[in-house]
Amino acid sequence: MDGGEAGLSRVPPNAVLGVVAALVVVLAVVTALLTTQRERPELDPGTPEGTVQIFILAFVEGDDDQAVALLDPALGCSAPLRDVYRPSRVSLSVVSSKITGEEGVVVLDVTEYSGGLFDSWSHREDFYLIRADGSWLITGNPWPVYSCK
Amino acid sequence: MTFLGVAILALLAGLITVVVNAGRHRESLDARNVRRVFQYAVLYALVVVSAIGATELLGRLLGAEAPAWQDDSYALAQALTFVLVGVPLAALLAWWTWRSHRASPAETRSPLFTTYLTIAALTGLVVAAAGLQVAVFEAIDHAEFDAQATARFVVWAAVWLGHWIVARRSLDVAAATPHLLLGSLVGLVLAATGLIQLLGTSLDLLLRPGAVVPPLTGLARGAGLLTAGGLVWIRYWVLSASRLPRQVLWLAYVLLIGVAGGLIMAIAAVSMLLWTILVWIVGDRLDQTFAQHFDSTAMQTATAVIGVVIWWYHRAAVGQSAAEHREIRRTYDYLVGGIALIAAASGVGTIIVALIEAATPGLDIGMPTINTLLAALTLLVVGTPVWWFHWQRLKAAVGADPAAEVAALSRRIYLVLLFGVAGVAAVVALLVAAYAFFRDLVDAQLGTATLRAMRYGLGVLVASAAVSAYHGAVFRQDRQIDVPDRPSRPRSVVLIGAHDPDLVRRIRQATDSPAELWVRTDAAAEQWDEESVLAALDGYSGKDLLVIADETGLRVLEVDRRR
Repeated sequence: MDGGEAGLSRVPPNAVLGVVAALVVVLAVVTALLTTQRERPELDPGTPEGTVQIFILAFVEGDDDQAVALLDPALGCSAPLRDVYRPSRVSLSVVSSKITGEEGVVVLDVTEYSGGLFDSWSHREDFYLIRADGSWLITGNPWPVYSCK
Repeated sequence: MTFLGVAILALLAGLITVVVNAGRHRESLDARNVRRVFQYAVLYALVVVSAIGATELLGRLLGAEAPAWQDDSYALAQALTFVLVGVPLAALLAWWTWRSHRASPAETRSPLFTTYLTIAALTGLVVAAAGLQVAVFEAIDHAEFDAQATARFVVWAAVWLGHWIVARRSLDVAAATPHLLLGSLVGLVLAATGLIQLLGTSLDLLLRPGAVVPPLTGLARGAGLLTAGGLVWIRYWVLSASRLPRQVLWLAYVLLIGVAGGLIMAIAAVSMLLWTILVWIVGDRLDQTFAQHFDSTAMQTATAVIGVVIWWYHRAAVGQSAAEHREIRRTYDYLVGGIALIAAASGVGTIIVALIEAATPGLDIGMPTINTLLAALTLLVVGTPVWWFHWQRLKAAVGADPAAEVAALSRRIYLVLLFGVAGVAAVVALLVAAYAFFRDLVDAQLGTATLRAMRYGLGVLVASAAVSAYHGAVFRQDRQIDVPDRPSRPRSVVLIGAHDPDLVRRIRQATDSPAELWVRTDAAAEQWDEESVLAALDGYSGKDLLVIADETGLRVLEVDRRR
């Protein structure tokens, strides 16, 4: 222990600062490279997870016709969707997607941004889907519309 | 119900003051203090009730009309009751209080009286300032005379003025300091908000004509806030608090509120401004027009300018003292450096967030990863140079006088606070990240979404580790520097003699020993001489001491407090 502590004591703060600064620069460069190569993912409307993400994208961007077309008619929704909470900036990632016969369940991790980057909160949302005429429709109480009745 | 709440709160505040004060000064929790609690709580409630009633009646006299939802008869009956019952009772209690103060100076010295004066004056100040702000706003924006707001200003300004005059006549400098500094804070916040509103709206009108609708509202709001805040600030700070002795509370206000507050405002606004510009140049504009993208720029610019002015002004105020006190200079550098370090560390954490977002699949709507990375770079660009400048100055001071600088209280507090804050942040971040991990582990759905859910926790964890690693090395280097042993000091000191609260503070500072003062009541005690007291304490290392000041001089008795 003494040897270790003595070793640590010999590490000058400037060396630590140099290592930290170098790591930050490397991380920033790697992130910049990854970011510039990143493209919006192709969303497949033939899959439950693609359907759910297309629905949220359409809803957030104000395309209510497309959003409502992906909802189960039993929910009673029609365009334009009024009196509903409409987030403006969200980040989505698919946690899981399962298909059981004619039904599907998608779990999404949702991060909402309010004022800026540091004013954000995350939550998990479950989406239930049913297959109809070869495509998927969202049913249940889907975030952020929940119900139109 | 509101008055009942106010009265109960006032009573609770009074009781807490009594208990805390009794503990601090080892006073007995006697009946006089409990009586004072009720006396001042009731007086405060009566003053508030009377002022509310008078505001309503004066408003009607000036032509105010009750809103449609209000029961007019009920409001008038309530106002008459408050004035006709409240004012005589308040006057009676105030008269009795004045008499008791004339009969016994101890009443005037009571901390409860100081608390009452401070709270009552500040209540009047805040409500009057709010009334003035609304009256000016309505006059400019709608060219209307707001009778209710004017009445509120007149009545509550009278409440403030009455208590201000009593406070000026009754309270000594130490007792008046919290009142003056809190009033300065109220004025500073209102005036700064008004200036930001005025400057921001003016810039908006110049740069985006037609985009600000209606154009006069923002200016009117700013003018109202600036008028009210400016008057309060000039009265409290310029004419009073700025001339107070440079004691701990004064320095705490100037450093924490003025210097740190102004700097945080400026750094936050400049960061937002820079980020907005960077996103427009190299980031994802999200199909926004120039006017949409830069809609907050004018207000951010105004916030940055006012933040810098507040910082510069208070820095100059500290600077005069700093030239005399090395510790103040040091504290300033550690404070500003610490704030900038937090901004830079947030940048490091945000790079981790951006890295994970870029490396894992996900759909970003309205907050693309490139914009997150630009936010990280902005924080680093703004925070790092400020931290570097102050830290280099501190390093130069350590190089010039290692023993004194390493042993300095502000340096030790800075390092301990940094480790403490970084440690707490790391623990919370670890819990958040671990929860996200175990949630998906339990549900058998570990994957890239899990890593994405952990990104904020991991960002904070890495930033905390970076801060701790560097300052850990600094801490270890400090320990290698030989610090001379402290001079011998007594274990405790009890001074018995004339009333002199400043002496106790100075003895505590000089000896680093717990000290208290018991006032002699059997004879007129001699005034204390600090140098003589310190000389008398010399050589009593580790002892409990009684120091008695009488006509023969100072007598030092060794005692044992533990037996």
